[in-house]
Amino acid sequence: MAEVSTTLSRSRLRFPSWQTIRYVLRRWPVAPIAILIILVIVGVAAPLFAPFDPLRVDLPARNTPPFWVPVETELRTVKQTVDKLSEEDRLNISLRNARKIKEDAAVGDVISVITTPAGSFKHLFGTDQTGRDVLSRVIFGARVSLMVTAVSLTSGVVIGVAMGLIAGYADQIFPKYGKHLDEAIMRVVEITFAVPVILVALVIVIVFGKSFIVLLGLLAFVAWNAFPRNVRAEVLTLKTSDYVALARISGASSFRILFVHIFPGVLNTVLVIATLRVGQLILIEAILSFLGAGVQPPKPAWGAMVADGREYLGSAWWIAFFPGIGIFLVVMSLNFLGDWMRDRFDPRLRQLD
Amino acid sequence: MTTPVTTSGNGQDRPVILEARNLKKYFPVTRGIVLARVTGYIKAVDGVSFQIRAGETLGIVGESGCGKTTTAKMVLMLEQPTEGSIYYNGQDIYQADEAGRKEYRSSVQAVFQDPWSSLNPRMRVKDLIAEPMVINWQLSKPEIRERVLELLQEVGLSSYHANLYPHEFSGGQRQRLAIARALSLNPKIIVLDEPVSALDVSIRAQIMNLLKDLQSEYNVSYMLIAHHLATVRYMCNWVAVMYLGQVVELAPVKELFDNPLHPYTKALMSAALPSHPDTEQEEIILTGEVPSPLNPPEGCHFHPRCPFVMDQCSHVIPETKEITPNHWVSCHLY
Repeated sequence: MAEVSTTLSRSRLRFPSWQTIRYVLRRWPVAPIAILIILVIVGVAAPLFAPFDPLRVDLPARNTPPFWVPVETELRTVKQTVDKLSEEDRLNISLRNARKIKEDAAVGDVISVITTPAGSFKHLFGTDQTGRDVLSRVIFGARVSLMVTAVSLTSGVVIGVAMGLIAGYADQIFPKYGKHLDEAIMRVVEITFAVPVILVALVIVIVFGKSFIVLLGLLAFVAWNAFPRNVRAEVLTLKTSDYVALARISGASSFRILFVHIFPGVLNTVLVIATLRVGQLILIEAILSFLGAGVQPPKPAWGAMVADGREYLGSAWWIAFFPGIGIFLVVMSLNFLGDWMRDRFDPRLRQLD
Repeated sequence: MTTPVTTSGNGQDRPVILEARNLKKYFPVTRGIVLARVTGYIKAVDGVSFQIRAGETLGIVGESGCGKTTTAKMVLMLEQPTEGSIYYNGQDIYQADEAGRKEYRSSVQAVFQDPWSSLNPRMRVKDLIAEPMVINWQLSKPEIRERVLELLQEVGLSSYHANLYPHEFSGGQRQRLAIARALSLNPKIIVLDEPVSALDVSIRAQIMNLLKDLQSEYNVSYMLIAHHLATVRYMCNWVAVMYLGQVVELAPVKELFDNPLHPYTKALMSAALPSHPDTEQEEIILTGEVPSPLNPPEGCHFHPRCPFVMDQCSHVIPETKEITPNHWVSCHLY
């Protein structure tokens, strides 16, 4: 009896086989979901995870590399000696990059000078040009970037899809004016394509002032106009399909046809465009922040951090690298997730069931 | 144009359930984008009359573009006729009030040619079959479910199919689903728009037999649109032959196949392959193309291709005449 229960508990605790793991990984988007969940949790509870205040400036520790980077030294010939340094200055130099300067180095001596200090576990991702902790800024930046993207994308999707559905289906609901409504909506969409977003954004920021709400509005404006065209095109094909005709024959109202038969068919396209749009939104947020019209400087946002770090790519790559990785992870995860959802929502592609 | 008054071929008269009188459908052809002008009309259907009797099948044959499908669409209220009217149980459906239309809609259903596009790929079979009932009837969920299972049984599928999606079925099974859906409201008429032409030959017979069985069981009338003459011969009680938007010949199926009168019907018959390869048959080869319905020929529409063309054919429109009882032809030869 005892033996039986032992085997049972042993079999329950058995590590899943390699095939099972592969099957689960292939079938469910485990990695993208895990990454997104982690980023969302980290972003929401940013103060809990961030080791430092993201705004705390620590000039002596500026440009510290990530923890694994070893000290980098260079051999230099001493060209002149500095005598007039005060004791305090001497200490500073010795602390940062002249630790190995011999006190009595003479002109002509070759000494080893630290060009990049070693990374420390105090700042896991290093520090930026003013000594702010990059890890803390990336964590707080996740909060800002994800919120900006989520809010603007959601409003963009709602507005854009509604416009697309109305444009494509208007002639069924309003037989008389539908065609004109369709034309009007599509012309408006085309006009928005021609609008120079960045310029308009700058003007709007000048007029309405720099505020988070204005930024969200601008990004929603950027997000929505990709949807109406594609959704409308999809609606136009679907509404002439045989199954819509049969629904009409069995007495379905235009609204029922729109929401039961056409809208689910449009969802695929919407998901794919939405996931592709996320990268663009983060990028535009970055551009706007870079130009001073977006997230305001001390506040960390990924795009703005990449823009800041651009100048130091040669000497301190980590300032731009880590927020860049954040953007990359979000965009890739959403792309994979969107792709999986598209297949999942289309019963014809549900092959793995 | 007079309306052919048909009596059933097998002697016993059944009530006329649907009658089309002088149906016309012209599609305007416009030119210009901003200030569009109508430059002409495509006369897709140009004066078609027929009757459908309870429990019988009317076949409509003709080549592509002759207006068969447009006629069906008008019967299904998907297209508004330009002229003419459709009477259902003696009532003009296009003059009927909302309740009358609703009643008509639920008593006329359809099965389309392509079983791959006529079922919404995102709905489960149970929802697909239940949809007409959900829309038209106030039934509780268990009642609907029971009826769905009953219908699946009726068309030769099993109850476990109810939870599947359409893509999990073969073409023949999908057509069975479409038939189950069409039957769900106990319709009086089902429009079959080439119901078997997308299926392979072995499945065709099954579906045709299923349709015949269901007809005798439910006493439903069929309006069968086809271009395959053997299908028509097997399925129909009456056959109307259409050419360029007009019915050129209308007769009971046996009469039409034994004694085709209109030159176009004869040509159509001779174009069909005989059931045995050694069978010799007269071959009538029509010259030329079907004229454009945008600009149909004067007089008899068929005269430019007719082997028996006469002087009057090019300017006098032939009347529809009853040559022998129940056999109606529009041709100057008779």
